Amino acid sequence: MKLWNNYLKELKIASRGFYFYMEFVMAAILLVCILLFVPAEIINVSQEAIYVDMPRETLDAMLQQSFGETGRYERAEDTKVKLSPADIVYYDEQTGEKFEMSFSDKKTLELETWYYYNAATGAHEKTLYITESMDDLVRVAKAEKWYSTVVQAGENGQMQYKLLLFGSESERYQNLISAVMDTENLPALTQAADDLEVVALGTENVLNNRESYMPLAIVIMNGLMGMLVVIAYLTIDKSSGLIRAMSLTPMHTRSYLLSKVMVVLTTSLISSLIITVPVMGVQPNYLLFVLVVLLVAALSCMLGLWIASFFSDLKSAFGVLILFMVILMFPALTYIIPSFSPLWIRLMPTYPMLQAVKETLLPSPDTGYVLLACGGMIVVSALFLWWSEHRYKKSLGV
Amino acid sequence: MIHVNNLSYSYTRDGRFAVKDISFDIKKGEIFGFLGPSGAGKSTTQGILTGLLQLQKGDAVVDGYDLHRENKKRFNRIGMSFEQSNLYGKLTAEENLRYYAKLFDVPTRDPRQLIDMVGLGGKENMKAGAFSKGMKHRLTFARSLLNNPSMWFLDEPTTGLDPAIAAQIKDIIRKECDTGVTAFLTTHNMFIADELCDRVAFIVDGEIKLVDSPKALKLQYGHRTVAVEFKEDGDVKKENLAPATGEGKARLNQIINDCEIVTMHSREASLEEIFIKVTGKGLTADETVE
Repeated sequence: MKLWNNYLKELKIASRGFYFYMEFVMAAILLVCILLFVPAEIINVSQEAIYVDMPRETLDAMLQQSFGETGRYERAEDTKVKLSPADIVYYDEQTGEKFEMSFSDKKTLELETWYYYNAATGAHEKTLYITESMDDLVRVAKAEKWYSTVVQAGENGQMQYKLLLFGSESERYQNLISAVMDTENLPALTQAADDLEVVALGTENVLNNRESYMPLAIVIMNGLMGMLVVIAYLTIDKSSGLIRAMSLTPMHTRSYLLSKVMVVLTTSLISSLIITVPVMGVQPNYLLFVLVVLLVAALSCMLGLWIASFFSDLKSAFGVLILFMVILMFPALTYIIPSFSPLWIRLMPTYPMLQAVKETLLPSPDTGYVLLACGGMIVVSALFLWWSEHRYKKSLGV
Repeated sequence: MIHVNNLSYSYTRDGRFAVKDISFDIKKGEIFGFLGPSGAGKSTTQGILTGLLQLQKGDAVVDGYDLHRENKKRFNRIGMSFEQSNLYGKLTAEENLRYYAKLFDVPTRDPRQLIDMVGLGGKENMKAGAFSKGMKHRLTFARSLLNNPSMWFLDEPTTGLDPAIAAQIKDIIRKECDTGVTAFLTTHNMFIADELCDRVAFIVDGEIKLVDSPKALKLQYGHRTVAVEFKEDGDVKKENLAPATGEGKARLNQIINDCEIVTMHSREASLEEIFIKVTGKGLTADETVE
């Protein structure tokens, strides 16, 4: 009952302060940024230049027929490309012939431009620029670093493709290109591709690009911030002598610390919901989500209390707390780059925090993992609370 | 009510003690003054007895609770009026007291009645942050009575108050102690100690120099003096004479017989004068918490 009364009092005091609402304003700003600047789907529009050393009708036929089932080309506005004087050397890998080209003029090309749209998604996936000469293609390739291809008629009347490489590609990539471009291998490759059985792995149970940022926003913005906020609350109480007054009541140190933590949990939960509901809609399991958000904030607060308990002056603890926050953010790297997941990162508390929040947002969360992570967070939080209480008993009221 | 035996305390734990091997007893219903200059060890002793500081060396029993054993329940019987006001500035005067009252496990007094008692009636709904220093001090004083304490710690209870309010506070202290409340009063103000305390302890450099009632101390160490202002050879002169001594008595008689008396007042030795006489040290106006 004392804990509840103290919590209500702390909430009342916090709600009369500027910072309480600043957290919600910050959450709203973060939400606007996520909605406006983080696309739901990332589409990489590749840019390619092509020179067709064949009659125009051939090019038109290519544009009409190529990839007809999977997409379509649409004419776009011409693209201006400025070319500077340049000396260019290139080699023909098939013949070993060396070509040296020297261009002394400056000019602006207006390249015929086509957009390629995916038939299934309607997304603009590629932009194709057409040059009118081999020289222009080489100069454009050097200037813009676009994939560049020459299409010409072979000896037997078949179309031949030549790709311009920049020399920086890996040997493996060059070999792969050679194999694919070699017309002798084409039937075998086509056959092999046709024989492949493609199975989509769990594409239903993933977060889109925008949604995938939510665990980071919740754990780092709302969770770890609690570490600093709870110490800020204690510092204010200590400097105003309020903790001395509290120390001379029957209220336990634990209740006092928990009441502060509960205020942070309240603001963290509201901030997290402000960000999450508009982005995720009804997809998440909100029961699990609320549980995880509360435990993430609780564990962060307990860690903050524990770290600060080693300092006689709470204000001087802030520098170390910020350092800990930065270290605890390392699992965000693993979250963004899953291939980078060393053991020491997976052992940090923020790793299961991020994974647990992510699970709660998925259409089909792994409830077992989430509950296991929650259990771990409860145990570790309780341990740090006990430890902090023990340490603060001696020093909080002094 | 309080039993202290061989109490010592060091902030640095390096053999330098803020309080050195002090012992004293306080009876129930007594107002006990702990007097000394800044840094003498008053606040340290009070900190140990209230529980703000941990007991390091020696024994202390407060209201039946041995301070070697931690027991939060004892705070139901303790009241503490801090010298530095510590209130929630964003809460009103009444909210401050109502919230604090909820922290106790015992029946508490009506916050409005306490607010009226310290002369803040009509200011219940004003935020404590908007109070003057004196008003905050009175609210902190009122808060210390919320739980009907049997052991009441008062740290400079009239500091910063105007004389009228200070008199009101002293009156409250007397009335509360008349009902059986024991008060432990730390101050460097000898006048309030003289007026209120049943017994006083003089503490200097962490050591108690003596413990006795103000009256007994005056009898033992003070001399009644007469301050006389008179005209002699056309000039107005002033002298302080001790009529209890033969020399003083003779000089006083001589002045009365031979000179024109302008003013004459009898005067007792003050507690401050006795403190200086006993300890060899004066009291400073400023008080800081160790």
